[in-house]
Amino acid sequence: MIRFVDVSLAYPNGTVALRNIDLAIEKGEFVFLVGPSGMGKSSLLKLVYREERPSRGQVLVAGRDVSRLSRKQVPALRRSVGVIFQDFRLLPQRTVSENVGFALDVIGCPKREKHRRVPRALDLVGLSHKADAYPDELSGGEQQRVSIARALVNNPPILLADEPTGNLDPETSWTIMQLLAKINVKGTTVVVATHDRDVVDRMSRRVVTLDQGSIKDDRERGAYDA
Amino acid sequence: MSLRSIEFHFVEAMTNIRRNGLMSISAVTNSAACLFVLGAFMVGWWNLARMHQRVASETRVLVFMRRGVPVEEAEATAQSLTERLPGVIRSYKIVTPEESLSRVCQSLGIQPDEGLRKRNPLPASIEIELVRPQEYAMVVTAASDSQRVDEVKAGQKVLENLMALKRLGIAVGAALVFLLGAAALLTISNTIRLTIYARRREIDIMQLVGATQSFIRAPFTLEGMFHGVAGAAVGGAILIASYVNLRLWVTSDQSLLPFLEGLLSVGTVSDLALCWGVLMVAGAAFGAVGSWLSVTRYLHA
Ligand SMILES: Nc1ncnc2c1ncn2[C@@H]1O[C@H](COP(=O)(O)OP(=O)(O)OP(=O)(O)O)[C@@H](O)[C@H]1O
Ligand SMILES: [Mg+2]
Repeated sequence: MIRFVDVSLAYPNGTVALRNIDLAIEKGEFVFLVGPSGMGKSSLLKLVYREERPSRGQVLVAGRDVSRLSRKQVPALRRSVGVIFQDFRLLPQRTVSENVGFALDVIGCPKREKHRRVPRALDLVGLSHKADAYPDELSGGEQQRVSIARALVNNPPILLADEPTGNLDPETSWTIMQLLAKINVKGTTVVVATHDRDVVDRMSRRVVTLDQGSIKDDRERGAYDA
Repeated sequence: MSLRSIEFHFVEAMTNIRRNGLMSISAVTNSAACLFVLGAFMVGWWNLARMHQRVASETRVLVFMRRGVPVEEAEATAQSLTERLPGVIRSYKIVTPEESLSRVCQSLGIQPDEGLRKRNPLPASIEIELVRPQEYAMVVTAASDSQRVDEVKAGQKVLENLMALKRLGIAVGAALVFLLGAAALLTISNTIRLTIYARRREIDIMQLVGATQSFIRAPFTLEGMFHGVAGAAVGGAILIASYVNLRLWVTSDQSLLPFLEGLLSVGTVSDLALCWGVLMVAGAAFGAVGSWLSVTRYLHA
């Protein structure tokens, strides 16, 4: 589903964020991306949704080299990759269901389709009862669930999560991870970049460890400090 | 683009305009001022072009034969000119020396006597009407070639002066469009930048979830076009009101009437509507380009 072939990324200011990354993530996998701060986790995810282009190598998503996509082709990629962040990135003036529906509005989804999909997505993340609430009326965990609903409302085959539990307490973090696991069971490929040692250890999934922009370790059923 | 998307963009654009309040007003005012000046220039130039056209259409080429060349030869010269310049000459008329003489006498208010008739000093001439009066030079050259022709006259001087004025007008107009257009465009562009700044979260999310660039641009383009068109409507209305008053004032002075009316021939309702329409289109274009610049700057940063 996602493949990195000898990928390096240097930012314009000269910082080398990734070096010679070779990585294959299969369809339906659940992968943790761990490593200390500044080691390149976010950068690696950004290459997948084409927020950045590699300086070298190929990044293949569903068989296509995304580094070669023209500006016009990027939206199609983004529609097949859902992304969530530590800071949720919700729109404060819109309700929960409007926030989720926004993702469909802006890709030209018909209204009827939207009215079918938004409640389904909210149901998936267990927030049907908060559909008309505004983001600042929700807890952090609930806000993250809204952002997950928004990322998934268009049924993308891939979900990327950059520190999804970074702002949440351990209890809430765990419920979010459970939710991501549930989504993964339904067939979505999930990649989670995180510092959250407890969660990684408890989940016991594949763990890819980054160190100074290189893959230091990659093992099935891994733990945070392999 | 679906009806639903259009509705979405329209609502977004209206919200943006309202939120931008004072900035929107200043964008509209600025475009109005720029478009007023452009419009005033346009009306002036149009009057000039009309005058040129009228003068040109009244311009004939007069070919004077040498003294003593008989009327038949004048006819033959006219024939051969027509053949040499196909599609240039609309019609010609042979003026016999007798006819010329009676015209001259008439204009002098005298009766030609028998003696004058016998020793008529006037040559035969040809009055040529052209299909396109601006092509007179061609006819002048061709006619001057002939041995039988003495002199060729056309209303060259006036036409050439008007032509030069028109050309100057085009140059000045281009400069004005460039400067004032840039001014209108930049104000609109700046206003749009504010909107974009206020809307950057939305834009970032749109990009993240895969909205196309044209979709992201659409409400901003609408907003920019609104500023431009509203500016054109206001500037155009002021322009037309002032122009109509100017004409009324001019035509109220009976002694100057014929001259000044010729100077300000633009003035029917459809003329003025056309001016207004052109300004609106220009305003829409400035608005669209202005917003395009700002959005591009943000999206490709
Ligand atoms: N836009 C950028 N321009 C220049 N350098 C950058 C940019 N983004 C990240 N970097 C640098 O690249 C390296 C990797 O950053 P990245 O954000 O991928 O790390 P990370 O593993 O996600 O860190 P964290 O756990 O703190 O989020 C860091 O040294 C960072 O300073
Ligand atoms: Mg990061």
